[in-house]
Amino acid sequence: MRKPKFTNNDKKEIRVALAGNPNVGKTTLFNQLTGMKQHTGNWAGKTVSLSQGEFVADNAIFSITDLPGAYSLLSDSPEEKIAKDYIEEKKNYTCVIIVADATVLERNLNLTLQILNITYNAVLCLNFSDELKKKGISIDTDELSLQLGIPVVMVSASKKKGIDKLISTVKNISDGTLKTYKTLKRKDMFDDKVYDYAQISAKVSEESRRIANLCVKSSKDTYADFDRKLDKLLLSPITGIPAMILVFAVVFWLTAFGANYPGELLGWFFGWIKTLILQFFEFLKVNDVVKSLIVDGIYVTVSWVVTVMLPPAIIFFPLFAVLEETGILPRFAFNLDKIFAKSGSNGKQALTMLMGFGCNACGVMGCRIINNKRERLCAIVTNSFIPCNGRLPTLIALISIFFCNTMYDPFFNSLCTTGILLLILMFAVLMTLVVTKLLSHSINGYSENGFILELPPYRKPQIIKVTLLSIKEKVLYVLSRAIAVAVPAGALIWLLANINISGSSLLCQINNFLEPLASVLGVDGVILSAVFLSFPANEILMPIILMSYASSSSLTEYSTLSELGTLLTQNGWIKLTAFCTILLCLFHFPCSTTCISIKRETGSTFWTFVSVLIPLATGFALCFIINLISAFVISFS
Amino acid sequence: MHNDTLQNLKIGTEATIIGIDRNCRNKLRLFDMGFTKGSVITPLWQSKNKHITAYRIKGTLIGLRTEESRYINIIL
Repeated sequence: MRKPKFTNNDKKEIRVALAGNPNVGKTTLFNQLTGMKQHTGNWAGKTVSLSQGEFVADNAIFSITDLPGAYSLLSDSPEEKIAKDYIEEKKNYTCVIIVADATVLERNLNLTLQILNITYNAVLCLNFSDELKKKGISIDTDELSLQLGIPVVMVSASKKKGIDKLISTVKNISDGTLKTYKTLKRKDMFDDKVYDYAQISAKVSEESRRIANLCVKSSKDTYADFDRKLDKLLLSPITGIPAMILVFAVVFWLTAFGANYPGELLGWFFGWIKTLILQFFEFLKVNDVVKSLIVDGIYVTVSWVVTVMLPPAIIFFPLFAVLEETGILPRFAFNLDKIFAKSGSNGKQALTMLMGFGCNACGVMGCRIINNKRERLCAIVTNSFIPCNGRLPTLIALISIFFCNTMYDPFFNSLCTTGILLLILMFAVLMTLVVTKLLSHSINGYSENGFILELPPYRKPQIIKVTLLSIKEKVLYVLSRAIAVAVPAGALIWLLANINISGSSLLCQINNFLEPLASVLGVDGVILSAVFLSFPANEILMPIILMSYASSSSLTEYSTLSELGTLLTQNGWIKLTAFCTILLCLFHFPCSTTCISIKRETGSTFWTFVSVLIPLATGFALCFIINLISAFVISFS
Repeated sequence: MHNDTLQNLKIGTEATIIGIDRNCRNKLRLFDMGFTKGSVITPLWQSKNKHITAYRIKGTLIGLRTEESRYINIIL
């Protein structure tokens, strides 16, 4: 199967596998080669599954598979096993590109040698070659190629250097014009009948060191001054955690502050479109019921979802993507490990929680970076305690309206909102820790925890590129998903609100049915039914609430937050209502997509149910307590 | 020259790894991350109460709990 296939148009098909350690820029290279836009991040485990892409070059079709980052093919962690299985099945590819970080070659040679033990249809691609000079490192690529028996190509994936050479080398290896030769003797190193794991590892490591000593000259300390200084700040027991909180405060503040402006603009825009649609329907003489369904049901819901979600998303996602690129996040995991250890988990859970801010479904999948099964399960079940981008805007809006409303200046209002939001988020983290602790006591599994995490060198983020990429991929993805859910949800809610049975609408009846329970929780039936009805996507929580209110009063399209506040107040909202709604939104059960993700990752319906029940129970319990306390306070004052 | 385990190594001091205790559950992972015989290692940053330490090893920084580092035998 090594022979390349010929397709109809006589273009050779070249199948390439991208393999390498985590943090070596595989995904950047993949994007560079294919023109595809995979999300990248400077931490181990960002790519947890296979992604595939194609491109045409040199009169050949290249299909590329990006394997998850692996430190080794010898161990059994899920993502490393994916990489191993793929490489061992030789008909999967015609050439493996082994991507290595040129600045830490010796470390990367470990995996290189392990891959060469399986196949010699490979090329070693030394990425980050542009950083070598700055770090005072020189690499003798000819000698390296001689030692390994495969071609070596210097590349800078982010600066697009060396890509052409890499492509032609891959092609030449695939069609056999470039011969590689075996330098390794399997029995010397990898024979597992003779050697145990420790011996094999030691031998591979020794060989890597020998080759690196031969080919790499380093004139400076490889730990860059800048990295050392930043680590001194970020990894210190005194400044580490405050610095981390500050970084997040800035991110959330920019999100809350910046979201004020486009929101108004969008509200105005949607109002304008609405009049156009109405005119158009007038022109077509559309039936009033259909018109109302489309405009008051679907259109208003969609425009709400977009205006409330888009502004924070368009700010938060790029900021977060830039943060991911820098390599700061693993440092946070390092700092938080101690706190997580106390609840029987480890600092890597912090990384999966951070991913949860973007999307809980992604956060749940990201839990694969946690090796210990029990810890992974805890992290999966508690992931939705972190408000995803579908819930964050609702939280920001409610805080800003009900708890910072005395501050009219948008600057101070956003500062106040950020402060309260941070407190609420810290509370969410606290609850995560508490539940993790409770869970880890009730799940069997070995109790010995581990935390082994690479803290990669800091990299300067390519701000513009990352921003555009995350807007194009993340923001649009999340938004389109929200709209896809908002359309049927809008129609459904409209129907519920407009189908009357024995004098009142179905929605009214649902609300009335839930009213007794809701009143114990400090909210009303409308809010509670919205909590349940937003199962498909958490984004539609507010639109459902508003539409329910609109069935008695009339809902206009979004214009400003203060108008939203007025509308809610008219429907009987007080600070207590807002606070309980915030709690119900924060401790909302995972959305349908996340549930599917949980089911897939845990392989268990039971744990999926637990993941739904735990946030729900937590939210209800907290609201009940808050309501009780407030009733006491009122009755005594 | 004397033998010790990694958790006792003072911040900023260089040592060479001679092996990992067989009782260490994460032995395989540690090997993969470069904690192999002959590797030079220096602890650089440490949390309060020595819960976790960042080590410089083979050109990168790796965070490790004391639970693990006590299994790693070194010579200095």
